[in-house]
Amino acid sequence: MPLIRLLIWVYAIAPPVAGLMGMMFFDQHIGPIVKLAAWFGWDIRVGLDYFDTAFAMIVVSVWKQIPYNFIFFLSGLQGIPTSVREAAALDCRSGLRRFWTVVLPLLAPTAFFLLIINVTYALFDTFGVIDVMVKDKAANNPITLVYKVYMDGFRGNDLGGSSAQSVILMIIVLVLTIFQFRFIERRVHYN
Amino acid sequence: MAAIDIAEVSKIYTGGVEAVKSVSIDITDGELIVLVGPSGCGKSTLLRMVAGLETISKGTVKIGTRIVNQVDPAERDIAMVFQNYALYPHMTVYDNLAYGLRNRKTPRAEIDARVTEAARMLEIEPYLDRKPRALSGGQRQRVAMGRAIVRKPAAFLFDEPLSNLDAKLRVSMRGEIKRLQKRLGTTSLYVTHDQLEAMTLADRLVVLNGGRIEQIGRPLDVYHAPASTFVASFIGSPAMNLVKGTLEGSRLKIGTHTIELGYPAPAAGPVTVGLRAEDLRPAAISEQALLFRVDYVEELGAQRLVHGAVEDQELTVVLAPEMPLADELAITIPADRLHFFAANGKRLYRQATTGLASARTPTVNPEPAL
Amino acid sequence: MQRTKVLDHIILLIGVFIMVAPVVVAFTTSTHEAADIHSNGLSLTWGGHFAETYETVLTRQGGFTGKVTGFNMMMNSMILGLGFAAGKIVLSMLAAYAIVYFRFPLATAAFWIIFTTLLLPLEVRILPSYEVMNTLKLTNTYPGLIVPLLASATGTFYFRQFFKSVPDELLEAARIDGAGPFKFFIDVLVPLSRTMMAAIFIIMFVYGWNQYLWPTLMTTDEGFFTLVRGIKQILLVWVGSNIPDYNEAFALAILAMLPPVMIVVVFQRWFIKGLTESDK
Repeated sequence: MPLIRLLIWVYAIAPPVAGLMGMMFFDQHIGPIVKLAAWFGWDIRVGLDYFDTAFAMIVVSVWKQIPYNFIFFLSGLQGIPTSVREAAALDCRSGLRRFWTVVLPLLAPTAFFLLIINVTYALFDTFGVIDVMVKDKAANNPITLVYKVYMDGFRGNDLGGSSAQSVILMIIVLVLTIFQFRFIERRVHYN
Repeated sequence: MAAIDIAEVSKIYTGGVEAVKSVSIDITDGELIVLVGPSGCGKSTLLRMVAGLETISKGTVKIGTRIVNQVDPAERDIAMVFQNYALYPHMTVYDNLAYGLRNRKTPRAEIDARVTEAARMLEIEPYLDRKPRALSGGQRQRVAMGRAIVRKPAAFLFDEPLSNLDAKLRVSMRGEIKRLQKRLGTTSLYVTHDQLEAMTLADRLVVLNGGRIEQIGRPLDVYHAPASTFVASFIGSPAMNLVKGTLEGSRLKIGTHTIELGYPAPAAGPVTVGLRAEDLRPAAISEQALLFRVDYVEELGAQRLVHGAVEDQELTVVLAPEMPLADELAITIPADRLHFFAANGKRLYRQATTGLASARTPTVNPEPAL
Repeated sequence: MQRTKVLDHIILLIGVFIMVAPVVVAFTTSTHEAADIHSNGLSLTWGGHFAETYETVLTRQGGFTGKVTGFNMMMNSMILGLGFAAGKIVLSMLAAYAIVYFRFPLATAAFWIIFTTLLLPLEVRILPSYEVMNTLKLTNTYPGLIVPLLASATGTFYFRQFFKSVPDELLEAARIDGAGPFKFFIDVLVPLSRTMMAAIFIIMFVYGWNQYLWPTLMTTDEGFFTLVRGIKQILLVWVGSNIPDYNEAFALAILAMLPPVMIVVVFQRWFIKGLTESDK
């Protein structure tokens, strides 16, 4: 359990703080990840190269979201009744096969739920990571729709365009929410 | 099919708690053994050690001719029915039954044949395409049984399989399990805390208390000759009356009452006397009797439980419902229906003078008389 | 059996390393001097400049106007985190109480109006929200910072679910004992909800503390900057200089993550409960 404690605390780190740390780890001068990549002949240039910047953003965002997924998978695993796992132990010798045929299907609802949550996270909560990593120079860098709404509305003073994009965003949220609620209904049936 | 030999098996948990203490049971091929005892007596732990779901701390478990201590649960050739059924919620009933066979590389045609046969036997054919969540408790129970049957294992292990069912269903499933077990002739180990279930199902029952065996024996033998006060109060309903008494020669004193036994007492001095409520009856005028003060009455329809006391010791008596009741009754019991227990709770055995007594050969060594 | 256990632990340790190492490195590096970091890169060793760096970050006037210190920002973050968490709990408990226990006109309508806020996270309504706050002259104020964030149904749904699980007999018993709606709420529901409140409080505090977009919009006066909001500002200042103050940036990052991380670690059980039972 103490190890689990260490696995989940990263959840509490704010996206821009994670972004700041990402900047350091992907820094041209001091970043260890840049040095590591150079070893394999990959010249990472965060802020200059579109793909490299996206890569750094994804690494940071994924890192920050691991604890959340971990907690839900853990509680999903704990939600599988011991007796079902024991029944499987009597029915199937191979642990791998048991995982594949019993545990994984029973985790599917959790995975589906997390898929939606993670999409929502990528849409909205990555704002801080992106804002810190592109440092106001969105020019050639990858940005999200939320970031564009912010840039157009508050930096570019294009209120119309910004609002239109907000509406699109709202429709996406609507679809995701419907998905999520249908999922909750399904999970109720599951037990 | 196979015999199961449990030899001096103990379970010691990390932390030193000993849940099962050197238990030995010989189960012959085709026998239905019921492990019965109050919760925490170690009966489930013992069953799970046979299944391989718990490691065996000491002793050996043999299924057939093979010592299985180190054998993986899936390789032990046993099938288990769990209390909460433990059906795979994501699989249909058919897949639930077929899963264990598929993992054993059984040919498809045979899987189909076995599942169909088991489904017919348990009358769950209409539900083969359903998921467990669409079934009632009783139906789930049958599927759990089916999952065990299709495997054609050397032994069935039942872990309180009926305790999640309502009373009526429990009685009918009880009969069905007995019938199926006899028909298939599969060695079975059955765990329950319900003494009635144990009595009705068992070929032999094993009464466990605090991780130890109190008694092993056929249901009627255990009923008629409980090896200890624990067994006496656990097996049979209403529980056997236990009162304090004193033995002198061939005489038993209970309070101020004296009963002539007509045979030499198995001990002398203070003992615990066991009287089955159903052995007590109203005394005729000429008979030696206990004066029984009636406290309250429970009507069961076919019979009537009369609770009261003889002097300061509480007793329950089963009487016919048409018998008139008074505040005080003279009751008696045939002397050969009395049970005597030593201060440590062990049964005191009478010298085998009557044929009846010798027929109930004890399986636990009698303690020396006081 | 033994071997798989060792393997399990190795996998777990690798996971822990991936999650923990970056933060540890950030901390140890923050104790080095900027020039040292610039020439030698990140460092896992103790640099011995812990006190100086953190003192500078906490007390030196920073930003463009020089109006704000790290300590000020920390206080602002605290106000936002605590205010948001407390406000959220009060608001959502009362709303859930009304929804579950009272049959008032337009109850269904009220329920759906609350429900639709789930479709409107702050990010999709930043323009109108900003406009409202601006018109009310609430920019650069604490209420302006906190109140618009409160308007979402997440907490309400959580408490609604919980209240529904409270047996009706309890309300009936309280009625027979002469408790009115208010007394029932205070004497029965609130004490029953204590663990739920703690769980929600932790989640919401972390959520509030970590807010970024809204404080960025609402606070132009550096005196109202939160730590998380200030990070980019700091970054912008040192981006131009020859030797960036890596150490101070890291120190700021550590300070910004310290309170929420501490709360999550200390109250782990409630935190996990709040997270998994509220389903966001």
